[in-house]
Amino acid sequence: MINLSKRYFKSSYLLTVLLVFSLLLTACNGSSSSSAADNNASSETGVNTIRFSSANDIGPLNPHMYAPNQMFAQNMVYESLVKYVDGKVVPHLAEKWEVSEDGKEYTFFLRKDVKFSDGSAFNAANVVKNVDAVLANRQRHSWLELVNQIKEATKVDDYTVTISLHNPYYPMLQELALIRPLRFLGEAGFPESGNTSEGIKAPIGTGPWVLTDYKINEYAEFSKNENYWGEMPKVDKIHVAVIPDGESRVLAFENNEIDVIYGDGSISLDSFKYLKETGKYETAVSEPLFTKSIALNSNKGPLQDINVRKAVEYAFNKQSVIDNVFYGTDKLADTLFPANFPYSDVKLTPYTYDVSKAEALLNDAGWVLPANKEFREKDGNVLELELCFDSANNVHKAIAEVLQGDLRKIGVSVKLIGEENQLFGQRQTNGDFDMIFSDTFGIPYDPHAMVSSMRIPSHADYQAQVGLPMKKELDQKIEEALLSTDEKTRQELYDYILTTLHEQAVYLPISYGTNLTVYHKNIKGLEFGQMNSEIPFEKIDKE
Amino acid sequence: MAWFIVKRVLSIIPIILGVSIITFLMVHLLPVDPAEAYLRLSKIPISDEAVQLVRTELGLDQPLYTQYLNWLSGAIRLDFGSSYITKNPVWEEMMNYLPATLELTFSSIILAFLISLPIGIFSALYKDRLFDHFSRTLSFVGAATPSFCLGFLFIYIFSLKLGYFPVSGRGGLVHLILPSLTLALASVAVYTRMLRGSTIDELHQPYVLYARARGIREKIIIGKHVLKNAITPLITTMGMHIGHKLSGSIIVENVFAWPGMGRYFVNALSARDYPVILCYVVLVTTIIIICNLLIDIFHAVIDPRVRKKGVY
Repeated sequence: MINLSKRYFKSSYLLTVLLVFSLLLTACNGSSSSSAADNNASSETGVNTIRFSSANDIGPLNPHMYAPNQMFAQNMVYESLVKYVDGKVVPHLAEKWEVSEDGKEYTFFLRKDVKFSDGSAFNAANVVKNVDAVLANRQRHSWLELVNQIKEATKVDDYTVTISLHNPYYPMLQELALIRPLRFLGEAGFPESGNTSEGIKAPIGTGPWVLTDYKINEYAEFSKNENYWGEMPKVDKIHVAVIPDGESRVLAFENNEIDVIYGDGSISLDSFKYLKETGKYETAVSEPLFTKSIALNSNKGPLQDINVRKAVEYAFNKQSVIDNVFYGTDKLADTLFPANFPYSDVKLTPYTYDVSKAEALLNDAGWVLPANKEFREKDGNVLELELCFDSANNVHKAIAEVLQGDLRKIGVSVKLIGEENQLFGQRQTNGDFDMIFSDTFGIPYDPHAMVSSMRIPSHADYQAQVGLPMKKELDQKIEEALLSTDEKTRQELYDYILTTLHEQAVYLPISYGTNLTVYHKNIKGLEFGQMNSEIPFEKIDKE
Repeated sequence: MAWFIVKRVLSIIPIILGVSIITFLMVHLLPVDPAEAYLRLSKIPISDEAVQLVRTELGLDQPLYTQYLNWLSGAIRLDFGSSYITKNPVWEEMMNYLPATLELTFSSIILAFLISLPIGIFSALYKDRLFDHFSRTLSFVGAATPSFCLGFLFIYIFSLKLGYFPVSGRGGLVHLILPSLTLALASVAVYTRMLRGSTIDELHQPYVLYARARGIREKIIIGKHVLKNAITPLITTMGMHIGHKLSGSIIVENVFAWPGMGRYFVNALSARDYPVILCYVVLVTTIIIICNLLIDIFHAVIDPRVRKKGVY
């Protein structure tokens, strides 16, 4: 017995030591690989690295596909024929272009000094191959009208390509500038079948960065592309760590593990305010990029009545949301698109906060407040509206609570429905809502791609508008605007579309959304990208 | 003993079959179809046509039992299909994330054990004295504090203020300490109370009295005899906690940006990535069963009573 227990003790002791030892070993094993990453990230001599973080893994970096590819990373590696800068389309991989008179044929003259990161040349054959790969998967890209409109791409000579369209489609150049899907993969990156929707062999692009080290869900490291044709990046490397949680990101930033925080929603607005107030870091807020709004369903319940929709518009105290939820980072939105967006400078009278006007409208609509009751009634029904939001989105939740309080003041009951992300999306698609959060697509999709999507039943916009008496006419005008070739007619059509949407009160615009950034003081040259997911890493320098 | 192990190993098969069927059915009860979820994640408009296309592509248009049998025939060969989202083989991806999660789970269990052992024993020896009150308070606080809260608190103190550890990521031992400590503390509360209780029970056993009468030193009585018996229930609990920790590390993984299975699984859930969800559940079930089996064997090894009575 004693022998046995001794033996046990020895063996258990041995076991413990072994366990602890193996643990140490695995930990050290891990450390050798990651300390390499850490070194790369911070202290490797002579290598200047910007440390960035992303909530998700960058994905396989397929230029022609969507989730789980991260747009900011795709944008680092791949480039487009043209670029969108300050509301205008400027040359990029194509140094110039010509448009045929009927607006159906675009001829692009490519730069001759462009090389892929593997040293191969970028030329007309490559453009055709990439466009064909996108068209082979047309269904996937049908959300983008441009892909529906492209008939074919043909090579004229080594550096000249013609893209022909089914119809004259004026946002053609604007949509060519998008981060996906019309960007260019090097020959060696294509799979045997040529069908990039099945995956790519390697992320080979013409952009300023090359993926040089990658550990899925841990980090990705980009080095500058030595073959880059344009202005060379200022720093040598960009290290992107995956940090899913916003608060952890803030702590990692404060602990000097990352250099730059960038992006809408990457940290909470409270954290942004906190970091700003410490005075230790640089902070900046971008120009408006898109509109945060709530769609009001004209096809369901009490909101079928335009007076009720207008009452909601007047009763909402947006300024309070800007001050208390956004801490002034977003700008108050009176219209669906900011006036400085293309074709969006339309004279519209804003619905300014006015409780008595809202009450009068409800009275006109027959919704009256019975004595000793909190909410209005009509024919025995209580005036109650459902407001759906994504339960993981704290900003939506805060805005929803403000709106609930404001509408209570005019005797409207608001039921808040926080849904899991997918179910929230399903409600948008099905039109199963009275009010639902719905953002616009943002630059450079606004307004054309946004109004285009209003014709598609799977969008909250379509669902919200379907109860409008002039919905058919509206869709017709949208179609005409997208295919119009005359600038003046196009503006008139947009005037009609935007005025109708505003007067019919199917949107409750809240704020013009911005990008936020916080960075350490040794970081220089950080600018905001033109598009939401575009981060100009190549301009950033670190002292 | 050998027969016992064979029997237990064989019993894994029906359990996993049952678990996979239940999971399979439950996954299909989730609102929102994976085809729709995929389209939404990719920001592609959801038309009936597009959904149909993706459903055919993913094989979701086949009857449920065909889908299950297809899955099962692959799963036997460790082919759990490809993720709907990343298109990579699920097993490969899972094996990529599993080591990180196991590392965290086991280090936290060991840490919890190393912390609870002295605290539990001393609270028993100094029952109702200051140390006991202190450890009780610590247990209650530890058990009541949510892990994300604890995690952020640790980061704030040990990383930001003291600068001992990095805030996030996986790497060397320094990266491992804060997340495993966070995960360990909730169990420390349970373990110390348990160990205290079982030690007090053992101290009242007659053999302790006789040992004392024989003039054996107290240190040896406690360290060699009491502890050995008192620790048995703790080992069982720890074994059961492995499964709990494997699946419960999700929040800690998120806070510390730990690249484990938890995050992979949560993303798969919201993307309705069926193959990943199924593989995860089956894998975790298997690990839990194996751990329980090992604990039973371990019991038999350390406790001759269990062995001789032939409890199993």
